[in-house]
Amino acid sequence: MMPSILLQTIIVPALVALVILIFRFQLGKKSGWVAVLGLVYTTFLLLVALVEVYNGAPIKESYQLLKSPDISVTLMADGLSIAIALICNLLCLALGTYSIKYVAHRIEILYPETLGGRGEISYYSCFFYLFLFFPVGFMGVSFATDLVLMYFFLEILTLFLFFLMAYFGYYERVWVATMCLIWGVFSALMFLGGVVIIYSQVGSFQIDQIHMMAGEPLAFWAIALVLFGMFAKLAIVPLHVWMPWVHAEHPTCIAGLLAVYANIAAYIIVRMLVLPLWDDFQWFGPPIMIFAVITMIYGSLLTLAQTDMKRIPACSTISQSAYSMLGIGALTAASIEGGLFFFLSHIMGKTVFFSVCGMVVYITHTRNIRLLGGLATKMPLTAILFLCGGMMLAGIPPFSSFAAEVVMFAGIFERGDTLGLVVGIIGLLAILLTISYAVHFTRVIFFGPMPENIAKDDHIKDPPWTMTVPIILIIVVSGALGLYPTLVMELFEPVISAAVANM
Amino acid sequence: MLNTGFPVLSALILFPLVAAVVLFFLRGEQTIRVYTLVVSLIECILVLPLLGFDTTTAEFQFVERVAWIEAWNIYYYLGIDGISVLMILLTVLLFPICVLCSWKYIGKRVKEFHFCLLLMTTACIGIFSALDFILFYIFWEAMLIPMYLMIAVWGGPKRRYASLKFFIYTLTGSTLFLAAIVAFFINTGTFSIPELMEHRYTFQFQIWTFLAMALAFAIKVPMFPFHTWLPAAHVEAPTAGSVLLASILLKMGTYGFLRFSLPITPAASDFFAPLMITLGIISVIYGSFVALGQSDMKKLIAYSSVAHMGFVTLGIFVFVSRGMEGAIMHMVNHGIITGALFLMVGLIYERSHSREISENSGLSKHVPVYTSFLLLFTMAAFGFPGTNGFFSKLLVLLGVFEASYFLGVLFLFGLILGLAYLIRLMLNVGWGTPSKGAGWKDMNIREWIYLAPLGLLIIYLGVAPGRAMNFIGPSVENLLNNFEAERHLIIEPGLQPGPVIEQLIPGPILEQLQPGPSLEQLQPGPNIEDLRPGPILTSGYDSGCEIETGQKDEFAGPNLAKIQNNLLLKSKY
Amino acid sequence: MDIQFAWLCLIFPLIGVLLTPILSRISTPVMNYGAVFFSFLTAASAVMMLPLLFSAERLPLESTFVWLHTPITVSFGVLLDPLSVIVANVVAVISFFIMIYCLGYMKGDPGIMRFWMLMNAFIGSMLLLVLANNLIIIFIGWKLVGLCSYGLIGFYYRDERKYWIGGPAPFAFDKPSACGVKAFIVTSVGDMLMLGGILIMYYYSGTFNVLELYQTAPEWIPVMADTPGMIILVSILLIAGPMGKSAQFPFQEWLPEAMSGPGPVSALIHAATMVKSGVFLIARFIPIFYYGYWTAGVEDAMYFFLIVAWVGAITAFLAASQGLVATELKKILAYSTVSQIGYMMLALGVAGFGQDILVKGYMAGTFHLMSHAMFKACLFLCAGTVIHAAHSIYIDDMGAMRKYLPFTWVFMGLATLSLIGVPPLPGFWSKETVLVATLESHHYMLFAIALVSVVFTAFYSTRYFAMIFHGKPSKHIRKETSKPGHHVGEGYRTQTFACGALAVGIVTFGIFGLKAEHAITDLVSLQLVTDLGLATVDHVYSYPKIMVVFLSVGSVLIGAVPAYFFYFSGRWNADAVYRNSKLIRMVHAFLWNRWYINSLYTFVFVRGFMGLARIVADKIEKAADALVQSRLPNGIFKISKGTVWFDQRAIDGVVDGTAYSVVNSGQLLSRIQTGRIQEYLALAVIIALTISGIIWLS
Repeated sequence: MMPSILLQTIIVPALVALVILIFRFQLGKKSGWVAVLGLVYTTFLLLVALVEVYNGAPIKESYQLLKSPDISVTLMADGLSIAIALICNLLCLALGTYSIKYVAHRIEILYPETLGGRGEISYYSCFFYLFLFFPVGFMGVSFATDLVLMYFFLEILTLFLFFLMAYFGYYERVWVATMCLIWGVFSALMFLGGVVIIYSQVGSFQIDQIHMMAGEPLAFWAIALVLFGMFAKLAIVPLHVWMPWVHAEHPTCIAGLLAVYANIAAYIIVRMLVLPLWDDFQWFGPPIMIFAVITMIYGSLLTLAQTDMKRIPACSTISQSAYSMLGIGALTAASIEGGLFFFLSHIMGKTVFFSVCGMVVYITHTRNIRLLGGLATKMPLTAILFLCGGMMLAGIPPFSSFAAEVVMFAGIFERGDTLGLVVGIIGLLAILLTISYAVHFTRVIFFGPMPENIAKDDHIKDPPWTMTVPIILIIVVSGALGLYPTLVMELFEPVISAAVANM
Repeated sequence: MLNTGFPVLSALILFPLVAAVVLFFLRGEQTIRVYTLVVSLIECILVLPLLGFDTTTAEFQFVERVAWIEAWNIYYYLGIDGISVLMILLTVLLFPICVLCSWKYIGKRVKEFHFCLLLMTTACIGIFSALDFILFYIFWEAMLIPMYLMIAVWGGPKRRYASLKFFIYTLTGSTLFLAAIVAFFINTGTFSIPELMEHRYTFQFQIWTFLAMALAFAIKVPMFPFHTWLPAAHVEAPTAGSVLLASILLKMGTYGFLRFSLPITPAASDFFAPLMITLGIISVIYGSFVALGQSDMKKLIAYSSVAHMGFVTLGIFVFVSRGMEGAIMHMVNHGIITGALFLMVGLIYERSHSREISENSGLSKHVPVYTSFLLLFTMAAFGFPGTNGFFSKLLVLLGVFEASYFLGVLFLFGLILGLAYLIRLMLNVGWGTPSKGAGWKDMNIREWIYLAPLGLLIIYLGVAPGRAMNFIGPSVENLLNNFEAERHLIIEPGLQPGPVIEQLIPGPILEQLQPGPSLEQLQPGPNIEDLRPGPILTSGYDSGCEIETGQKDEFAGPNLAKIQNNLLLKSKY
Repeated sequence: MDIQFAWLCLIFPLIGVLLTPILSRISTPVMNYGAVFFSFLTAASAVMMLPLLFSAERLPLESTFVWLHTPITVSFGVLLDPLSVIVANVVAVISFFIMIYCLGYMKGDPGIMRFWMLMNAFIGSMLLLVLANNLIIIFIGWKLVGLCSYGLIGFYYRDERKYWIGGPAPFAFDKPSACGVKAFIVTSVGDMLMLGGILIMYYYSGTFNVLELYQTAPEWIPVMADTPGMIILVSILLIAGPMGKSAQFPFQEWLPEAMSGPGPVSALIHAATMVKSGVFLIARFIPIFYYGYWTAGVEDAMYFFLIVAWVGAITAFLAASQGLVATELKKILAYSTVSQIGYMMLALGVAGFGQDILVKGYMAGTFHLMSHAMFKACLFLCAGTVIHAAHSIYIDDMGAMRKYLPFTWVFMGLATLSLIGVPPLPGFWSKETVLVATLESHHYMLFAIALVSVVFTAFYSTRYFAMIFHGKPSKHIRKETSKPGHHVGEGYRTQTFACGALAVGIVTFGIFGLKAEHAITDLVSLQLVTDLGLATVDHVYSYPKIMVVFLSVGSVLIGAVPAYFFYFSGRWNADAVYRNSKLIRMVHAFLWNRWYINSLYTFVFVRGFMGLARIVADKIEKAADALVQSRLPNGIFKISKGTVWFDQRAIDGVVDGTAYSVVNSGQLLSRIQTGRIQEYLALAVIIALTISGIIWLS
């Protein structure tokens, strides 16, 4: 067992970011690999922690910042958080590797005047030291036991997202980045409002104290505020309008992490509202389910109508994150676990989907799918990866999203009421829309005859291995979890099933 | 530790004054600047003993008391408690920064300018350490003159208008304040603030004196209808003036509330709290809206000060320890942040000779370090976690929520508006449509020197606010305890506190909260509603202590254990 | 040991899939033979399970691993009972022959590696579906076969002109990639509904395991019946999946388009195996609902059987009628497949109508499944050869090809006869059992529909066979044969071998048809009655058995004879009939357009959803976007501008206005502006004193 394993996962990326920032001119283009190396290390740490948690009790680390007054930071990894942290970290690792080539390409397009000079290097390393704050934020949110700490990491994510977007995004990037920042901070403020209400009732920011306010009339308002904020983050209709913009105009190499950024709210809701305030949360179940179903259908329809390569996964995120909300709203142990598992599956699938879209844009330099077609001949691997991404979203076995869907919908039907029945069936039918757009876009982009300019272009071929290998890795992980979902479910079990059983 | 006989406060007050006199014998602009800088640095060293402040007691410390005009019972009476010590530290810290930021900015009448600066320092430290009303008033008025001159002489094109406005406003306030002082003296025969705190006054008297003082303070803060002098003064003042104005002068208003209104006229404070809170929340929202509509960076920040000081007012008048601690911390933090923001505006003005946002936009490419600093300061102003602004706002928010949820939601709304204008400032300046700015130099060493400490302080206070909070903890607790004891005690105008009331005066508040018969005793009788001053805005406001009012039965009844627990947790702080 | 063969059946195809890319590095032939070899191993393992049928009292066998135990329990395992052993053998053996056929058919195709991988993956998933002991695992196999089917239908994803189906020219064509999408989405509708049904069932029963579901039925079926309508809902949901996958009404529309895949794919997936999985699954569900109705006395459970039977009958009729006029060879066969599966559904449906018919109906469904798999696979393989030879997918582009394709003529002839239901070929036996079961259920309407469908079947089968091999050569075929070194002829030897092997199988099976029927009856009754203990009564024939034979053969003749005169001998002129009668033209148009169902679906679902999506994207989303992203901020800015104005005019203005008015009127304060502050201070002190006096006095 390594010391301070959880702290390391948060600090190491930040330190690596610092190293990259300081030695950027010495490192040059190698800074990407340095970042990846750091993430490999943290992934390793998390694996060690996973084994630890899997075998026994949760890991808890406490660091005293000040003796008097007693201010300390406590990090805790139980089954729920370690699973989420590990997957998030893995995605960061994969996308970090993916970015190495992509960012160079992005800088070529955005800042052609700097090419070959120090400017290029500093932009290049800039991406990576900003990027490394994603793992910091995700790990922080996952491991925080303290609401203020959680808020802090939420804001960290928002802030660095802004920079990545403003420097490396696509059209109208500053405007979109600003919008993203405003929405992010808005939802974080709502979160803060809820936190303050909770504090006023229990006198503590600790998550494990929240249950003390169960039954208070104010618990309702605390939940309502936090939910409102988190809905904005999850892009539940009608608070979704930012999502297509933000996700579409982001540099594709981090777009997958945006899905995590949005969807981690599901984790927060479970951790902070559902489990401690079980009885108070019951009231919110049905509205959440209804909103989630509306969002699922709305988002899928929206996706279906897109013609912009990058807006496809962007809009699909709207519908997909609603799935986890549907599971959580159903409020049974199975549905919550399934919802969270779907969250993990979705972020993996979305990373693949987004990244492959990015590959296509990277290779073909066009985002309009009307100009594409028949790419499977020239980019067979990409086509397969795209299809895999689609299948991962649609919940086709053997990918983990299928197992998640089964568990989740089993949980939804387990409610045993009419609402659960109706919502469950509509939800299942909504998956059809996901399947539809997955195969529809595969067909439009990769199948059919090739337009002439693509047929003639010799540069169109599968992207370099630094871009494909990480994506394959994610697909393999998703497949493995789909084949053996027990791993994740056993991790979730003591946190959720056991807790819910006691309610 | 360092509470030896050395008169630290006097030294701090007199040293700049002496230095100012010496200044007259110096020649050469550069010499004067270096000289003032050295003086300011020595002042910084002189202030170090204050760090030995005893954080366990609410007593006044570093007390110096010398008879001044004995016939009138006027003393040269200095002393600080937790509320003032931070302000003094802040003042002293800002002094060298003001010198440095005026290095290039002030081109004419250099000697006079630095003379004003030194005088300002003396006055400010005096204000925060005076414990005698007359002494306080002298410093209070003395501060006006250098400030007036700074605006009127070194200000912008409309400096005459602005300085006059500033002067008229503040003097109106001071006049009323003086009236209150005199009234107190006539009533009690003493000018000593600690003694005045001990006294009890009739309700009517409290009402009038409170109004007189509060107007003075409200103008200084500035609160909603009295705020228009601020943007005018800020826009016209030189950078150093703006910094001092925002960081120190505005704090004097809220400091006054804490030092005088609450302890001396508690019942009136309680009575007027709804009004003050209403004005505070209006300041927040109104100020934010107006700030959002500004195109002048300095005006934007000026109006943001209105909003921020609204937070402070709110924090004070909810009468909850969280809120009050937050308010005091926010006074300090706002001083640092807004000061820094004004410095940033000054910096960019030196380059572009314009304060319009549209003429200073898209700078991140050309002056990245400047943009980074601006980002840090706006983030802090907005209350980004990890910066000092976050902690104090959080505390105020906690306090406000504890008092009333409706207010809390309004407060959140204010925070969101704050986000709007600050983002507008930061993003336009940093990443907006690029204007000119290609050839501008990024920050030079001098600018680094005076911004870096502020940046470090922002992060230090954001990450580890505990040490600073230690200073104010006991004082706030003491203040609130006394306040709680006296806020409801005036039953009828003119009635002196008798034995009945003695019985009701709680000791250490926690004891009173223990369940059992004593609680029953505390439960007010049926006519408590009649006894309480008429509610002005009760819908939006609940006075802090839930048990005493008896209105919230559901809290006082079944969940007593929980409330106790909460209070215990809070008191552990 | 026997159960291990089941595992081997699952593992070999998987190895085949994984090895194919590696083998392809060595050389293409190695890969080809490697892929076939693994399907051979699979078939061998399946055949090794056959002895179990002869010692059927040992069945069912089960072997499980835990897949998921919290929060829901799913175990991954195989289940061997008569049904699964039979179907697994059908799948594995037929697919092996089809793989052999592919060796020739797919030779030289650029996507051959993909082809082999998908084929092996398909075999593996199909066996997974068949052998799984658990509804979730069945569902996984179910989805995976759908996925493979999607990949194989759209195999010619580049949509070259020659792979388009539909038409001919004035009519619309379908591109392979679009057909794949269609198939996948239409089947998914059923899949998702079925998943819902399975999960609802899980809520009541607490298990996904098939055997446990049977065993615990007494506990959970009454509970489920407590909720009114729940059983009907679950029935509909559970039936939806099989209806989708087996292309039954109302989901039948994907299968004709699925013919755009390579020939052997149609044979394997869209005739012999995958489309049967629906039948298989219905058979799996039957004991549950049978128990529900006949033992537990839940009235609603009968709806399951009613729906299945009626859907089967309607589909049999509908698809057969569409086959009457179709001109694409593979589409005719596809209609035929849909129609024949309708028969199986019908048989399974009527199985629940009486306690005496359970075994009969169940057996009829299974039996027809087996025989149909065999002859339809053979038909499709032959059709592949024919299409290859004729370079056209339309039967009116063929004609008189017998001399070019003698072997194929024999094989296809045998298979067609079997399809028509000519004794003693297996089609006759199995169809007869279906008809008997239907008749004995006393649902005469169903029986009538089934009989009419037999007539149709006979007609279209004779028609296509005659139009391919007999009659006059068409213009197209004359053009083809006139080319020097033309390719009109038998394909590769492997193709002929595979067809031949299947034809031999058909004949053998046909000869032992009655024996097979008895054997299957025994197995079924062992499984249903002995093992599961379903309450049945012995069947007493209410009609002489020979009557059904007469009716059946008579219907065949009614259908086949006109077709013979129209197309075989050419004595009657079909074109003339078409031209002369308006009614015939209308009927033809109706059938040609597939009862307009396809157009309706396209209009409602494809257009409808795309239109809805466009509305959402262009109208609602734009409006919401504008509202939140521009109106709201603009509104806030407007308010802020308003406040700024208010601040300057109202608040500042009042103060300034007062000051200026004072200044202007009396010039009282003008001196202050000159800077004499001390006077002002003095004034202030005076005012202060006055006020303090007032306070003191008050």
